[in-house]
Amino acid sequence: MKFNFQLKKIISNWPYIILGIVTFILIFPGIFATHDPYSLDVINRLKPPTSEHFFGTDEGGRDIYSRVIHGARITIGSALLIVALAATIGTLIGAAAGWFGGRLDWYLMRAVDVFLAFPYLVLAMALAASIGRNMSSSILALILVWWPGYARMVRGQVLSIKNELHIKVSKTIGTNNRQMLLWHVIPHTRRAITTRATLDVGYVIIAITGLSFLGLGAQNPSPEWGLLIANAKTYVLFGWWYSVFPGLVLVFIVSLFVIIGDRLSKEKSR
Amino acid sequence: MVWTAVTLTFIMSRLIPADPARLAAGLQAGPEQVEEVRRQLGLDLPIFQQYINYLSGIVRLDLGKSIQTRQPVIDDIFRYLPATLELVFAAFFIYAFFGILFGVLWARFPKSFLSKSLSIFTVLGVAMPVFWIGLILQVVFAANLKWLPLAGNLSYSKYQVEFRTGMGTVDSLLGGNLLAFQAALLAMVLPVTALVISQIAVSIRLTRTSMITELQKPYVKAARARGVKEWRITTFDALRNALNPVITMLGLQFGWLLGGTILVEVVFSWPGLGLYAFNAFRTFDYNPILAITLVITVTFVLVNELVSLLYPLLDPRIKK
Repeated sequence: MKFNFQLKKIISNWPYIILGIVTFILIFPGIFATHDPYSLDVINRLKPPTSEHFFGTDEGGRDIYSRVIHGARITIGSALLIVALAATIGTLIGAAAGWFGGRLDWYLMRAVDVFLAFPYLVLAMALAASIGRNMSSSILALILVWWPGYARMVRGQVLSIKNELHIKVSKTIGTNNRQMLLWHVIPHTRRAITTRATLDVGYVIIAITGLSFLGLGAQNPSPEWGLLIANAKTYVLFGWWYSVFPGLVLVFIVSLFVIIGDRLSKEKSR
Repeated sequence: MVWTAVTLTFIMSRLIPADPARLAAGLQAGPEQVEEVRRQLGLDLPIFQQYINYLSGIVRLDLGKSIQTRQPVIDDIFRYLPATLELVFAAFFIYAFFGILFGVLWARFPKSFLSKSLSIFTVLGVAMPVFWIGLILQVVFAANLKWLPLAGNLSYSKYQVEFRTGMGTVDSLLGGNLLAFQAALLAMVLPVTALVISQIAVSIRLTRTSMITELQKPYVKAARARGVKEWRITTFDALRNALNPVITMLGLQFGWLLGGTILVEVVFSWPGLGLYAFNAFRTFDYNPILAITLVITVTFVLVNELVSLLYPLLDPRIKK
């Protein structure tokens, strides 16, 4: 009976298990890839999927499966970096605005409003195009458009936490502002931030592959997913596998983050 | 709000590491010629003066010249914007209608087969990048089944349609050319479908949540007790009250739609603002990039203003 109970528990936690496997692939892509993602083999160009090449080959005869595996690190890795930095910057700014209030709050929130007034994807495209067309400029552009959301959310939370009893008590015993924010205020926003960040990893993956698709992010011969799909665009008529498989993997990974994010938000509201 | 957008685009234009004067002068230009072009473009003036010039340019609808096409940017915008709006508005109305419809059905019949498929679809819908949906539609319906055209919109020369508005459907109707109208509609099917699939999940989910909260409220119970028919309760009473958050969302979603259109236009070679932007990105043509950002942001702000005018119509408690 005990075993059965545990099995059920494991099955109900399947998104986390898959996330673990994905993390493993991110760290050790070499174990899972069957071919070198960069080595050309022009004789075998644009071959449909076989047992040798699971996802077929691309216009240079490169193994698409291995390119997807190696590209995961670039795409998911940069999405994690963007969300981590945007959440940190947004949390610090939002907490400062909510905690200190007054003029600081006013200025910071006007800055947030300006960013939120733009359609975020269009702003990110324009920023990435202005800073320079490479992966780091796209990452920078997405951090710039993503932090204001966190700032606004954390500010709202801090405003409500501010009036709670433990904070008032802490104030009376003379805790200074820095300790107050880092030990008593920000930890209370942690749950909301992790939920939002998990969902955002999925959305950022879509955004960054979109930038790469337009040629604003990763440049050839990088196996970044958006760029893979952009290259596949030329061969829509000759090789369905080229556009289908990298996209399916992308959809799978993004839905994984969306499902986990949904679960976290349900746990929170319970 | 429009003013902040203008200012931010101006700041952005000064961030560009490439020297616009050098780009405009061309590769063969010597240092004196580059200086000459810099003076012509007003780029040697102090930064505040440049800002004033930029603002007054916008008031006069002068957004500078495109280095690529050598045309004033504003002419290009007027040429390409209608084709984009054609896509955007078609997609917007289709997903607003079906999003609300499916959302209501899901809330009303939670155990039906439709609801179960919707719960899967809405997760996949937000997870699929719009450019990939476009490619898959091309693979299936254009490359393999050959039902619909692969890319591009109405061919004006082939059907001998006069270029009036830039919207294929409107132009062919104005010319009274039904064959061309059919071609224009067929060309729109795939890009619009891609946009709808990528956006509809959000409106379905929100309508459902909002409807579920409304259906649990006492006035619904009271109406049921009075024997009001179930479909009347859903459509006239609950839906009307549930629509407010949905409409706010649709306004915000319009911004995502505008971003998504750029990607879709690139996939389908649709001759609109998105394709124009794509070419500007590739060539560092900074005047068009700024102008497009500005036009899209202004459209976005205007749509959200319109949405806020709709609130009092739905909920009389909100006064203008």
